[in-house]
Amino acid sequence: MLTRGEILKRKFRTWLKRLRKREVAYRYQEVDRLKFLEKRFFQLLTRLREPLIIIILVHYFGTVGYMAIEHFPPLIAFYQTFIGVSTIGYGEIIEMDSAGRLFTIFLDFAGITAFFYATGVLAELFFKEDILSIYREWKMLKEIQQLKGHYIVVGYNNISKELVRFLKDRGFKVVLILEEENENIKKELELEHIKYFVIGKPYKKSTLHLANIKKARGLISAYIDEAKNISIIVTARLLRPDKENFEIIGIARSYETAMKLRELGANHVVVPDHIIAGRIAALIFHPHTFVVANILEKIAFGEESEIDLSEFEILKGSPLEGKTLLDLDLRKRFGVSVVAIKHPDGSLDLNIHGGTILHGEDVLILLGNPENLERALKWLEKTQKGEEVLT
Amino acid sequence: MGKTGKKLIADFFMLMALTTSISYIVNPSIYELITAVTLNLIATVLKIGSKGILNIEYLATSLVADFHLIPALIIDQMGDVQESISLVWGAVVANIVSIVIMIIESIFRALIEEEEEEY
Repeated sequence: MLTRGEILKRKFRTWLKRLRKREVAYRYQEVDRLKFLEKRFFQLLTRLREPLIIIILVHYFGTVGYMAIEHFPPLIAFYQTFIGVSTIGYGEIIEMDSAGRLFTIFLDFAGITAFFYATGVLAELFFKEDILSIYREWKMLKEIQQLKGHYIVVGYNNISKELVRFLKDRGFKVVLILEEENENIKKELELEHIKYFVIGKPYKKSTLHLANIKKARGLISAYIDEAKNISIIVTARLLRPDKENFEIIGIARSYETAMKLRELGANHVVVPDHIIAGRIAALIFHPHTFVVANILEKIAFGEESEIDLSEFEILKGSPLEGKTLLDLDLRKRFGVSVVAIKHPDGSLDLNIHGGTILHGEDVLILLGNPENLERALKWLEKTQKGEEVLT
Repeated sequence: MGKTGKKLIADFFMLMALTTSISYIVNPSIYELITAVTLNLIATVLKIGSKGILNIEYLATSLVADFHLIPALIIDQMGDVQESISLVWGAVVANIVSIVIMIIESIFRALIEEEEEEY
């Protein structure tokens, strides 16, 4: 029969084994910067121990010494010690005799040394080790862990800078991943009001975890370099295999690369050369509709924050099937207009009116203010699910 | 200084603070109270950044003791020794909790070391 103590010991051992396994698993991962910063911060704080203890002891001996030698009241004794040790030196609060003055010489000699030692340690912590920036980075990384539905932008170049600006204008939260950090980049990040960033190799799992990829809505790889793009997209897709809930957008130099990236897990791949050529061609083809072309371009690229386009698919068998546009009355309800309907055969119907009947698999193209659009889309989804009844 | 040395010093200051507080309760003397405050402050400083499973609780109990002893010192100087003694009682309780935490930590550490030797 096992005694109660032995049973407890056995339980403790199995628990410890489990703990050790987890620790080994952790060691095989790359060093987690969050844990490193936390450890470093407390390590630096412990450096304050020694000078603090010495200062406390000096004040203790000073206070007790004046009380015993000069029969000072405790508060006066403490005050006398403090003004000596901190080099304020107002002089003798109460007249002392020789014994008291000899004691003051020794006390202040030890005290002032301790005081300068403590100042030195503080200066080292703030200027050499930069404890404040360690604390700020640790706090920021902890905040990133609380984010939800944010976008991760990988790489720091002109593309990512512009992209972050667009996303922020629309109220999206963005975490930037930088490969390295220097003073210039730090200043630029401050100027651009980029609050969240992670420094590390973007193709490492630990870096993506630090950017809280598990709760992110998407990742954009702003590199043009093929090898980097591939490694980032593959790593991100491994961590978030669900293509529908986590979109990955990449950039490619050629269509061949774009195809490759899409096969590896990217939802969309942008080919910059093609887009530039297309925009130039559009300017040539429509020289007289510059204003319209400009507005449409701005809507397409999300630059116009007052107007936006969106789409909504009518599912087969949904309560919306067979209704007319007038039944939905999106213009009155939300201030949103249906500008076109895309049919399942791929044709675009621009000739629509209140009496147009909706069929299954039709896609409504909606135009309106971004906030109204969001409200309209939510309402449409609810109606489609039957949670809201169309009257 | 090794782990044992550091622990010895930290435990020494805390126990000393506790025993000095009790000594003050039995026979109130301003010297003892000042010593108790100093020892407890040092014990608190030593607990900053200490590693352990209960380090936050460990630091909290010590801070509680500080915030009992420092007002006790002020109130003692204002002449109300009775009130000062009752405050020191509070500090004693906080320090006893601290010691319980210390014992738990020690047992854990001993068991872990034993386990590591077996491996």
